[in-house]
Amino acid sequence: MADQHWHDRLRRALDEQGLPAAYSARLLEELIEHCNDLHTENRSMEAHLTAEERLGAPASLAIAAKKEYVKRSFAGRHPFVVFFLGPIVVTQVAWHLLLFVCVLLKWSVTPYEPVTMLPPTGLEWFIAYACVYLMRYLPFVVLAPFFMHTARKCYRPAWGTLACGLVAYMAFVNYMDVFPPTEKHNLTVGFTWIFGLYNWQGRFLPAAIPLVLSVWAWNRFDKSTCPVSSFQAPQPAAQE
Amino acid sequence: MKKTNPDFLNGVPELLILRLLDERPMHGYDLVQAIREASGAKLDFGEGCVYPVLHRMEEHKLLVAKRLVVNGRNRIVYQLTKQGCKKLAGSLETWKQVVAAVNAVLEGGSDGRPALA
Repeated sequence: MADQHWHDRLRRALDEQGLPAAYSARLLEELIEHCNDLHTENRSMEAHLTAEERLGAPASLAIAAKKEYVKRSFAGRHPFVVFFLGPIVVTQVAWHLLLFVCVLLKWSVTPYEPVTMLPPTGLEWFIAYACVYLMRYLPFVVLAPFFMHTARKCYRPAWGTLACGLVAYMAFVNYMDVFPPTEKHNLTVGFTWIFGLYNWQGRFLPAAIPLVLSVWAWNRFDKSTCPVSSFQAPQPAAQE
Repeated sequence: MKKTNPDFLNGVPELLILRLLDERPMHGYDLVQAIREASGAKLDFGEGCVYPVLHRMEEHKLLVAKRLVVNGRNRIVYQLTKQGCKKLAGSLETWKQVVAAVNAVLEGGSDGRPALA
């Protein structure tokens, strides 16, 4: 019988590291089996001493388990690339690709010039505002939960928070608006980067929504990636 | 108290695990015993640190884990995959080169003088 006290300490240590439940459960199961083997190997040794001496201290084991868990994914091994450079590059690329599509769509309905001096139709207003709101929200609303999900899978909550903060900042900086028709141009949409607080009220919501969504994503997605659930049922084996 | 995995052993547990599992599928305790036996008990590490390494290697598709009943007990048995075999071949080659290079430095340069006294 393996040492219950050691198991309890290990379970607590794993909980403290915040590892996924399935991962911890499997690790615990294997370590308990290992403990049982140790007792079978040498029944005369004191149970507690054997487990602690041979397997390692629960706190050290839990830290080692977390280190290995984090190293399982590319994002875990290279958090700076994924959660710092990633949001900056990916949001800008995604934003500009969407911008290209939106501008093409808008221009196909309402060209910039020649100036017609006619009031825009309902469809033209709709397309212009649709482009603006898509540009303001879509890339950031998709990317913030994506980065948080990735961070959660590799257990990098702080890096995930940083990535979401960067996405929110990009949403705050990348600005797009509708410009009504004038003598110089028809109804059009314009974009720019605003680094100051100009019109901050109008840019606050696009920045706040990715943050809220990332908090939701943190709670929503199952962070367990341990394949224990996919194991086959026990089968008899011919050999040890 | 044993350290779980001393820093200088980075990469070594993976190589040992791959090499031993290349011979036959094993469960964790079996593997630890095999390492102990093969190394003449020279490699001193916390045995529990093997499992997180095994799980990571499984995640990287170098190993596959199966639940099997072994001697009446339900065990998680690890087996090398094709990818694991390739990794073993590459790691062995790298290891031999590193060992040869370190030995060359420790035993002396081309002029025959020991680089380290």
